[in-house]
Order: sequence, then structure tokens, then C-alpha cells
Amino acid sequence: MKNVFTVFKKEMRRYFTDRRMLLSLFLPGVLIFVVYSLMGRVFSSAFTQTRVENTSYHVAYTENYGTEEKPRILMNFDAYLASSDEEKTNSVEYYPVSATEVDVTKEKVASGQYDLFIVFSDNFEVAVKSSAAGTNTNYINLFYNGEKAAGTKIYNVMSSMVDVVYKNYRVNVDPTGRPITPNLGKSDYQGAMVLSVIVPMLTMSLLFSSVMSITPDAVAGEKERGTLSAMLLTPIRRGELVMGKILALMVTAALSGLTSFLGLLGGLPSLLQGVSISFSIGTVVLLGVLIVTTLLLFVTLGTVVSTISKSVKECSSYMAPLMILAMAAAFLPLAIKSENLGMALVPMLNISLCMNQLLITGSIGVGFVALTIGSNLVFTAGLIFLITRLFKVERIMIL
Amino acid sequence: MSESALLEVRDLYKSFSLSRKQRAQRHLSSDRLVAVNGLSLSLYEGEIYGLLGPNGAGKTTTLRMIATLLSPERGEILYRGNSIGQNELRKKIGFLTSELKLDDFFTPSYTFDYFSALYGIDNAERDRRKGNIFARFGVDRFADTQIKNLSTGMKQKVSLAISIAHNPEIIVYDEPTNGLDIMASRDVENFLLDLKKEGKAIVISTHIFSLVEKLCDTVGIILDGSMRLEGKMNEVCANASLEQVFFDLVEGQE
Repeated sequence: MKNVFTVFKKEMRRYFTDRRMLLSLFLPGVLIFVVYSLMGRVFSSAFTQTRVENTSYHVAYTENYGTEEKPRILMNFDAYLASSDEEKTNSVEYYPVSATEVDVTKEKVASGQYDLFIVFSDNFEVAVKSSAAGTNTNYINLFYNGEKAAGTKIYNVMSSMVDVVYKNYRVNVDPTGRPITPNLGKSDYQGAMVLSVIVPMLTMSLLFSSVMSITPDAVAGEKERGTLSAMLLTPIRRGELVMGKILALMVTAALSGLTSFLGLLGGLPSLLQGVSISFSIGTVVLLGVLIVTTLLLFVTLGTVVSTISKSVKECSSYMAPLMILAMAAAFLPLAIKSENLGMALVPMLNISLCMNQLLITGSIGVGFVALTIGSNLVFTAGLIFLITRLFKVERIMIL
Repeated sequence: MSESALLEVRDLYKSFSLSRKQRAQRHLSSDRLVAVNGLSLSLYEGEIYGLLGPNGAGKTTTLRMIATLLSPERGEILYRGNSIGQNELRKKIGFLTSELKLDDFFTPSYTFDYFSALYGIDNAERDRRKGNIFARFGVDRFADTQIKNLSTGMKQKVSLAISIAHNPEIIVYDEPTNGLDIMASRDVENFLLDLKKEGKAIVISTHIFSLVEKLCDTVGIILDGSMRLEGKMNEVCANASLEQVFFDLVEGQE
């Protein structure tokens, strides 16, 4: 164990005394902040087009708008529903409620009974008809349940309509003019959809990039520079040398990954375009465990590739296809919505499936997640064993 | 010089598999290249053994097997007449080759400490040895300078210092003066003579006949992986210079 720690300290010192390596470790975090902020806008706008089929929208509205006929926004929505191909399988039911029942109705939105609740200021439509635009007393608020696809969809459509129909009137403010939170759901379907695709992809790419920036040098680089043989001549066991290196790689990759993660967090507001997301502590902890097991797997996989390579260049060229595989695994949950236990045995894909499920529903089958973590740990242990064996193969280790 | 050998190498055999490309380059039909074939030699305390041979003769492979970097396919290496484990043997051997490098990003002092720790040397003993060895080579002035900022000669001195960090009984140096200027070469020669005085058993491989004539007590000439001539320096060079003896052997083989 003492030798493992000696090698670990030496490796850490190596990583943190090489300026170029430091740059390659921590620059991605800064770049990610910039690039993903821009990328988030593209992804987010793509996901605002949430698809809803065979649904009846349940829309409540306050009756205090002041005219006999339906509010204009609802008539517009009826027209939209009748003419839109996308909505041809959908219908709508309206529930007029008294202005005194706002709080009760909001609770019904939160519980999922209503998809949308429109609150008008008193005599809102009268004010609109008389063109009394933009006075402080006239407003329209839209409350929805972001946990539901239907709620998200109708909110997006109605918001767009409000911008056109009630142009110049205030939207989503309280009587004093302060902004309100329109989503009454605990989380956000749209945000969850964005995250369920983006997070596995970013996790895979961030972790793999971190691993790629250090593992080629860890063994292949040492072979190339001729510094590894000196260590192989010492009485230290090969297993201790491997463990020391892997531990240092993990810590360094984790630090690099953390920097990238902070960059991602910085970019999240624009990624989600103001949509709120909340996770339970359990979900966050589980995500953390999944990230650690992913890191373990990637570090050991990278070290295997580094061990069989003769140079950093050769190692990097072998790592590139693996990165593509990791990316593919991150996208596959879009096509495979399965908690089939067999899938939990497929490395990388199992982690993506877990993350995807966790982010959309906030929960996942215990068996699936246990098998995922277990199988990744078994793969990691197997790879460490393989590296130790490879370290004893002269043809591979001695150039 | 004591009577019994400190290290005995018996009938070593080592071959390497060749890729198709390597076979074509060497115009060979076999897919294996025999690098060392039945080679034996003995090292004694307070003796310097010089290994001579053309490129590809098997010198480096032999030294790598002695240093435990490579395992022989056949044959054995005995320490004081006994077969001991690889890790035990590693504690007794100091190995240096031009292909073996130290990490440029570390200082000589840190590198010495690191290797001492891997050899299990306690801190007090390490500091004592580091002080003596660094002073001996003049490395002490550069002890905290990154190795990448040192001259080639100074790097070689640091490598020599590290190779004896664990006070080995057997010293195995593959072309120790390769690439060094005359001043640095002289320092290495003097260092080897000092080690000899300390009773170390030393084996070096080199292409420089004058170095062998000047330093070595025993010389062995390897051709095609086999020992073709071995003897005390004065016996081998009784009637001709070492260079003449060497070329007579090589041309006789052709």
C-alpha cells in the first residue's frame, strides 16, 4: 500500500508540474462554458416543440375578464386546434372558475387536474377592446404544470398567442407588477427532456475528454520517454505500480471533470432558457455514484489502451473510436426506452439509460441501477486485472 | 577479488518474434530472431567486466536479462550461487542504459527520493546517501533544478546517481559514456573505478575499445548472441590489441 501511495504522489506531482498538461486538463472547463452556453440555445429551442397526441387539454380560466363571449385567447386556441395538423388528435375542455378560486385552481394545476390556468385581471378583455393598453392594472397570467408534456405544450402555444393577441399587455406578473413563476409542477418536463439527452451526452464527453487528456501520457507517454523502464527495474510489484497510476489518473480526471462540470453549470441557465429544474437529494447522490463509476470505467479503459500503445500518438488514435462509442451510448436512450435488465450489463449504455430515466422521471428501478453499478465495477476490476497482466508482458512494456 | 562469483549467468537464451515487415527488412524466413543463445558469464566483486560486440550481437538483451527487465526463455541467473526471486535480485542490481530516462519535470532531489522510496530505503539513510552521491557528482548544486534544464552530461550524472540510490552490489551499465563529451566520459570512468574499489561487481557494454582496455578486468566478445571469446584482459590482449582481436573474430566469422 505504501508503494501505491508513493507512485500516486509521483504521478500527481507529474500532472501538476507540467503546464501543458494542466492547460489540457482545465482549459476544457472554460471552453465548455462558452461552447455549451451557445449549444444550449440550439438544443433548447428544438425541445420547445414538445409533441402531444390523443390528448384532451384541460384549461381553466377566471371569469372576471368582463365580456359575454369567450376570451379572445381561447377563441384563438380553438382556431389553432382546428387547423393544426399537429393537434388533429387533440381536443380541449374549458373550466371557467371564479376569481376567488385562484388558489384552489392553482392547486389543481399542480396536482395535474388542469394543464393550464389563465388568470385575467378584472375586466381584462374590456380593457383590451377599448385599447387601454399597458396600464399597470391589466395583466394576464398563465399557470401550467411543467411535469406534464400536455401542460408544457399548451403553455408554449398559449404564450406565443398571448404575445400576439395581447401585445403590449403585461404577462405573468402579480398585481404589484412582480414576475410570477408560471410552472406549478415540481419540475419541468421540457427541462427534463433537454437534460435527459444533454446530461448523459455531456457527462460522457466531459469524462472521456478528461480521461483522454491524461491516460495517453500515463503509460504510453512514459514508454515513449523511456521513464517507465526505470520503474520496472525497482522491486515494486506491477500491481502496485498500476494501482498508483490508476488512482492518480482517477483523481486528476475527476478534478478535470469537475472543472468541466462547473463550466457546464455556468452554461446551464442559457441551456435551459430560464426553465426551472429541481432534483431530490437521492437523485443527485445517485447521479454522483453513476458519474464515479463511469469515471472508473473510462480511466481503466484508457489505461488499457495506453498500456498497449507504444506512443501517445498511437494511444490517442485508438482512443478516438472509443470516444465515438461513448457518444453513441449517450444518444441511444433516445431510441431505447428500456429497463430490460440485460441492458444494465452493457457498459456505457447502462449509465446513459440510468441517467436518462432518472432525469425524466426522477426515479429508476433499484435492480437496474444496482446491476449497472455492479457490472461497471466488475468491468473496472477486470480491466485493472488486465492492465496488471499487460504490465508483465515484455513485448508490450519494453520497447 | 573473491573466488566465488557474485552473479553467475548460465546458458541464457532469448528470442523475439518478428513481424512480417521486420522479417522482410532483415531478409529472414523465420518468424523468430534469436538474440541470445546459450550465453554464460560470471561477475565477481571488485571486478569490471566489459562486454563487446557489434550492433545486434545481443549485448543489450543480455544486460536487460541480468537487470531483470527481460526474462530469459532458458538459462538461469544465480546470486552467490543461489537462484533468488526477481524482486530480490532487483534490490541488488543498479542498471543504466541510454534508453532509460528520468522524468524531465522532476528535480534530481525528488527523483532520488522517489526511487529510494520504491527500494524501501528509510529517509535518514536516503538523505545520507543523497548527500554523498550528489556531492560526488557535483549534482548537489542542481539538486532542485528540473532535469529538463540540465546539460546532457549532468543528466547522465543524475542517472548514475539514481542507479546506485539503493546501494546495489551489482552494477549493469549499457554504453555508459554514449553521447557524452570527454569531460563527462572521464567522470563516468572515474566513477566506475570508484565503484570497483568499493567492491561492486560491474558489467558494462560498449563499442569503445579504449574504455574496455582502460577499465575492465575481464572481457567477453559476443557475436550473434553467443559468447565467442572471454578472458582476462591481459590474456586476451597478450599478442594483439583488443581492437585487433575483435576484428579478427568478426572477420573470421564472416
